[in-house]
Amino acid sequence: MNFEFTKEQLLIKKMVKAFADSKVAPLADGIDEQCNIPRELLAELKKLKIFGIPYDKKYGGAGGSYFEMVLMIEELSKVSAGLGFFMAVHYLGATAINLFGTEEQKKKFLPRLCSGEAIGSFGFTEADTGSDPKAVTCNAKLVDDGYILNGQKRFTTNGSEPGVLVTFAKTETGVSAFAFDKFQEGYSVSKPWEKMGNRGAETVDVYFNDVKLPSDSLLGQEGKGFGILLRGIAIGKLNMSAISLGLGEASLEEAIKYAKQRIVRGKPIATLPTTQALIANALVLNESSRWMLYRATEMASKGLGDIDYESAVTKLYIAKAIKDSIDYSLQVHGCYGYVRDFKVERMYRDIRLMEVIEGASEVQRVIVASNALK
Amino acid sequence: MHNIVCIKQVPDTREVRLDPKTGNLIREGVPSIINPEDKNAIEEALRLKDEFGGTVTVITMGPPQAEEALREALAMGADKAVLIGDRAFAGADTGATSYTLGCAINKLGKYDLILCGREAIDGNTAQVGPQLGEILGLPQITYVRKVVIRKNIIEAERALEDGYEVVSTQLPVLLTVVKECNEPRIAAVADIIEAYREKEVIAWSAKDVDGDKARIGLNGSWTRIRKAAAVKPQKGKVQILEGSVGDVTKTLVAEFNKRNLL
Repeated sequence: MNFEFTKEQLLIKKMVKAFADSKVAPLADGIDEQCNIPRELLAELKKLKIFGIPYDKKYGGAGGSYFEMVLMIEELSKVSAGLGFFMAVHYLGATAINLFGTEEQKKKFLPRLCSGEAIGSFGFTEADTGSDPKAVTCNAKLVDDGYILNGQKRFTTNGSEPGVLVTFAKTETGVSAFAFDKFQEGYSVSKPWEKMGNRGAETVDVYFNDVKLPSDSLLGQEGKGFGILLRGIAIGKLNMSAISLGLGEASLEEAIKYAKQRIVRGKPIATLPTTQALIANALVLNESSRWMLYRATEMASKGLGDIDYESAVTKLYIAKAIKDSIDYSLQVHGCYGYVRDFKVERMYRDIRLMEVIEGASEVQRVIVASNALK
Repeated sequence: MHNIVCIKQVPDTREVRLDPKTGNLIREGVPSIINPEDKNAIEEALRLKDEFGGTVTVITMGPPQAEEALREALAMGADKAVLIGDRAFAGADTGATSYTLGCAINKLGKYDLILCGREAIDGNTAQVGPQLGEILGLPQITYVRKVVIRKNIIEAERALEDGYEVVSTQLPVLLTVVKECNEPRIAAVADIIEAYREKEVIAWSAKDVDGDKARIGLNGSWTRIRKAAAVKPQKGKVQILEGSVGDVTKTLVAEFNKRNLL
């Protein structure tokens, strides 16, 4: 077992942190308030070359692994979970294409996704279905030269960003996955949902009105879309857990800073056993989450184990653990943790998403228990 | 345009703490970084490469772990990296270090600019750049905060305490740059991966550098550090002045005069 970062990973962490501190931190409150990623920041992100970390260089990727991708999202999320979420959803779409696309599809989509010119998104959820493929109502009708797509997807983050969408629709043989460029004729989006947290990335509903898809838009085999969904979000859960971990670390850092500065009866509250207990509780949850995430990510990077199961266990644990960790960090702040002047307030809102996204924790429990009981 | 940048890996002095009992630096666990003004030198070389094309070679003399600094420079965009390391170089002062770097640079071949940071944050001597210029027989411009090159002529602004002066000379030239010169770029993630997995750091020993043995390492050093000690700040008595602003000012000025502070 090796618990050390490589020199390469250490430098990646250091550089992404330097970027986050210098370029993102001054914009973080604005990202949250206005719920979008400023275009100037997007231009800087492209220069940081973080949009295709685990993909092959022949498609414009960096030739790295999921581990470096996760480290990047963790570091960005310490400063802005909204930005971390934007990147995580980009990778959700791009990874599905990387894992299941044909050589032609990879050449068609990945170079633009890897450069950041195209932003990835992923649409499965519909108004009346979350994780149930049988309830999918979007349909793709087979015609001579491809498919005609109709229907509506709910909560599609980055759906309003120019780029590539991976989505799911019923075909004659079951649910199928499709990858295509957004904003072609018949593609439109709703106004963004007003979210509680992770407000950097816009989340919209997407409408398909006779969208003509060429036959090479089909991702994987017809009728085999659910497998693509499961594997795609298995990797996605690692990124969601990376956002959580970044939030847990940043909120604890804020709590420690506050505890050392806040004087009560002539002493910093850091000297009080009650404060120390809160900090210790948060720290333990962060550390356990860190190693769980790094282990699962290393396994995914090396193709070891059952990643569908490992990522479900990881997300199930970390979403709750870091929610509790941030709760402890907020408690250190007292009422100041409840007001927007202190960063922990935003983090408390941001973390709540993680128990309901990419399969609510109840769905993760089903995956975990099914594995244990088989 | 072929530019060579000399860099040094240093402990991040922002992270260095003093042992409260001994007053010595606690170096354990202190991260190593590229000396900040050397990073400005790398950035300036890369900026000139962006403008005129050509190559950037980074070179450092140091222990094996100095390779990390070179990898970061490669990730920033340098084309070639050379690590000069050998036990024979141990104990080198600034003179022996400059001589060794000079020998290595001569082996690298033709160049237009040699760039160095003004000084390292661990030694603060600001000697290596100017000594290297002398050894290579180059014109040198120190404390550079701005560079403009037209054809074979360089025009540089030198930062002075109360302003700046503009100096011009022909290439090749040696520059030492200050932090106001530019904002070093952040190495991109994909470029870091490439720097570690695909780029080479060339290792040169004393034999490769091929200098005069009497001028390298401790033997070649004209200076010796006899003792290093932490200076303990002396605390004086605190005196709170009271009264009107005029009275307090008069007393303060008198006290300053008594101590020859004005």
